Amino acid sequence: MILNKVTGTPVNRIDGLLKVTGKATYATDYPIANLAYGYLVKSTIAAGKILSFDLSKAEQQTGVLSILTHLNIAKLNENGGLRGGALLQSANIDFFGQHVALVIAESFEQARAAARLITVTYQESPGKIDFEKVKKQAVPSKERDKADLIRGDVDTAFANAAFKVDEVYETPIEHHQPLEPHSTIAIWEGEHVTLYNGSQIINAAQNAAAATLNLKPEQVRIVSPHIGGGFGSKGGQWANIVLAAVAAKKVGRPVHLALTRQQMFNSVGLRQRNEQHLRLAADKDGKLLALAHETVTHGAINNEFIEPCGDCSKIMYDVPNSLISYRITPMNLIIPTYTRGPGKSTGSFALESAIDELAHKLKIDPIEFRLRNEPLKDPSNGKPWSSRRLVDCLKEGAKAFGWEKRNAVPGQIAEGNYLIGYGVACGTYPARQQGSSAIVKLTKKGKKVEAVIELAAADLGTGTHTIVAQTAADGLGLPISQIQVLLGDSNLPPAAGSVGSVGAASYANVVNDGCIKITNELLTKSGKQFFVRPTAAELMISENTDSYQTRVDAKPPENAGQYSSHSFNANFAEVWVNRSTGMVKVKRFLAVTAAGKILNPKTARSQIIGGNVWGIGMALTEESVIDPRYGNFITRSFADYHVPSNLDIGRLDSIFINEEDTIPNKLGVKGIGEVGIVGVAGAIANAIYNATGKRVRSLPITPDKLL
Amino acid sequence: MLDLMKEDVERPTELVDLSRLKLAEIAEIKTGANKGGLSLGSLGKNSEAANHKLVRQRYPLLAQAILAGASAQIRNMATNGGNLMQRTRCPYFYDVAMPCNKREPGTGCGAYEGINRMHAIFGWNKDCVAVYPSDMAVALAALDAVVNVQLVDGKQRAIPFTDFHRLPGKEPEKDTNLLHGELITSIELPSNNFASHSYYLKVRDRASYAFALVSVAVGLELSDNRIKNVRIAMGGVAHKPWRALDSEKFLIGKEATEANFILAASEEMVMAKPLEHNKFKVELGKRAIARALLMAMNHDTK
Repeated sequence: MILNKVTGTPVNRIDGLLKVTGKATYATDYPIANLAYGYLVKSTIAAGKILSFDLSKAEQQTGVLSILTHLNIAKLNENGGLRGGALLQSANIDFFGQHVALVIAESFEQARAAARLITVTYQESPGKIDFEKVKKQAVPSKERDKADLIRGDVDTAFANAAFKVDEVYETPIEHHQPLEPHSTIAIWEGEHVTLYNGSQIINAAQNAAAATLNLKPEQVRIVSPHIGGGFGSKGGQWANIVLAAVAAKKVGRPVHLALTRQQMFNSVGLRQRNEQHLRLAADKDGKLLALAHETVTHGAINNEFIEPCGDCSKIMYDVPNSLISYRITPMNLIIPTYTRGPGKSTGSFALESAIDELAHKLKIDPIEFRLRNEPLKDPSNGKPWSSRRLVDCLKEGAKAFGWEKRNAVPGQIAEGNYLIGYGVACGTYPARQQGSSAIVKLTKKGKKVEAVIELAAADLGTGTHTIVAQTAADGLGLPISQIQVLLGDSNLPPAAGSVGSVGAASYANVVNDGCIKITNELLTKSGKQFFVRPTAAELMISENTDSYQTRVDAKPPENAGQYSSHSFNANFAEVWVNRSTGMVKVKRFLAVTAAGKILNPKTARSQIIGGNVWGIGMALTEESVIDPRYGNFITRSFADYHVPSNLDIGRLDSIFINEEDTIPNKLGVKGIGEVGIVGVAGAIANAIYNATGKRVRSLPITPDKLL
Repeated sequence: MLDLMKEDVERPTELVDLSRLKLAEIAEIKTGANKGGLSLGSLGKNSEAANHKLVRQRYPLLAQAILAGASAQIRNMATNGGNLMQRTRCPYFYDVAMPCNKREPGTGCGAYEGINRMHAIFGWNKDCVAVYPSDMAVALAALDAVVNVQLVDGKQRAIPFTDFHRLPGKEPEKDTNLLHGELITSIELPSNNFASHSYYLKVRDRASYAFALVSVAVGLELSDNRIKNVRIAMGGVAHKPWRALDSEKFLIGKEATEANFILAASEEMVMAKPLEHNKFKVELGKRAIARALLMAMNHDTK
């Protein structure tokens, strides 16, 4: 194994030129002849039934080819693995903005114009759309991993403790809203359909689309080499992918179906609203005695999903008495789904705010307080850490950030009309490798050896192409320019998804295994003994082999499960709060991350600061608001749903702790996609408290909350 | 217009292209009531107006307000006349599945008992609680600008800025007092003595590309720290740019002190009638007026 020359260096994205020249093909960028265009019609009630459609005006419009409704669509398998229902299979309406019809026309504009001429008559029934009301009916979850997790006796420990915090922290509905809205082109050839469709898990998209269409997986091909962001919303797939296929079959032509920005809000999932009740207790020396983290949230009608807000609380601190629980109630909303840092980003806001509150009561520096409660093994299961470098994150971060300049008394540091505060908060995310396969192909042209690496991996725009090429360059002994990476296609060997921070570890390890395997096979084939092990590239030349390929299947190490393996981070924020207006500026933000081997410091930094930016949005600006009378989002474009603008972002710094941890996987790659957002909102909320003395426990912290 | 057509809010059967008219000039006014002032052609771009030397020298308040609006890309495309013709960003107006008297008279106001955090605290009625979105117009209201318009038959008239936009009254579907067929030709800025003491303060949910929760345009004319003349206009609080006349009245002849600014702010804000979700705008408006006056006095445009 030669893994040190190209991996670990800040190589530019190998697909960068394609992207900046507009040549990278996203789902609807394929020049396909004879395309027809779809436009979805959505329900304008949250609960009830469709009584009738008036399609007459729409059908007469120029260019209209067909209109699909539940009355004329083919029977689909609603349990095929797609998320969110809305497959036009019945008259039932479960949420506002559910798909009710699909217009197919010669052009997008014609389809849209016709869609607006459709009248739908509904029978409305009372919906569960006001969280404030329905939360009182929340019940324990059906999911086994969301059952109450009890260690010791929280209530007694809490009752007897000298110092405690007992507060509720609220986080709103958020939306993923990747730059590329969910889009599909569907093309049939006989009984086989190709779906160009941004997919974070290629093989899962293939299986779900096939099952829903009542086809075999091999009849469906997913093509998704480049994805314009997903943040979890392109992990599971939604009705639109299959409706495109059904439409294409119906009109006998390829169909292009792209959601509009407005339609995204109720088509492809969301981060659910959470109410987190934290009870935290400590003795006078700052030793934690009790931690209860009880979350109340909502699912969809007949469908449950809970992001694990209590996950950080399970493992962050050494506490003898602990309770983690979830209560859930259905709502007439599209099903919530995995959203960057699922559970951890929202849960850490609650936990790390409460820790800050308790540290303040104890008059202990919040970093010191965390150090006093550092667990030597995983408190939730007693397993040893494969590696846990949180203390280093805190210490190195404090030094780099200038934490000593913080005044523990809030509201003491000002400049002009601004109050200045520092905050810290920690985060974590599990490190895992998932089974994946890959093909390594070598060809020799004269003295030049070139490689092609093939696997059905996904690149969300985060740099998968590049880290695969880097790993192969080292593994084969080739310059990165001689390596081609093919991914994002279900015809390639199956691989893990780019979800849950498993992508980099799974892809790098399988590619590395493949490089070792092909080198071994070429060695065997040569029948020679070498004093110094040659590279695969050298063997291709010395043995005059024109072409050779091998396929490899990789699995995580067998003993990985005996350890607790996670990435950790410490986040530091400096905020300036305008005394008159309550507007907050995050002047500086530093994320210190221990995430094992960093394959590419450049793309890794981009991942982390990207997570930081969303975390800043989570802390200060992002909220999807429902009108509790109708059940619709009144925030339905980027004018209302505020992602941070450039001007909202101050200086972002990122430090990676040098960490070698080969227990979760051979290469020691822990993954960084999720952890970058975890702890961010907490650090900012804590900094705002330090600046102003105001503790805001409800995100986002908009100016009105600081008046 | 394009945005509204994409959202199905506007459904015009015909559109007239004005872009070839020669109405983009920025020029000093040589004759008439506003002689010595500046005229902005209605088809001039917002970014050109904001960056024009004479605008920056004589009407820094306007330059500041324009630059506080939208994004650089939008300002490069947006015209001065078009800016005045913006429609409300009320989400109930924008969503055709919702009731809205402005979009479809007689359907009711979705926001009145709905989510009205962004909505009016002055001049509203149960039929419409929308606010007017432009930043530029708030400065123009403070500057007592005049809108020159021309009818199809060539007839011209000049509309004082405060009469250009309307309160909802019984016809919330009407944003302005323009007559059918009237075209904005230019916006006139009368000369004034505010250039050295003016400020535009915009409070919003994010630092750029967000509509105002509350904004305040202030022009002060001082004589030995005594307030000789003052104009205060607010955005984000009403169906039109809102002149804080009671605050202005309070301040004339008084000393320019922070204490007086705070008192003046209360004079206007005590009249506010907030809705369920925008009660914060009363306190925010008070602070914003006082702060903007202070910034104008200190001539601090940072």
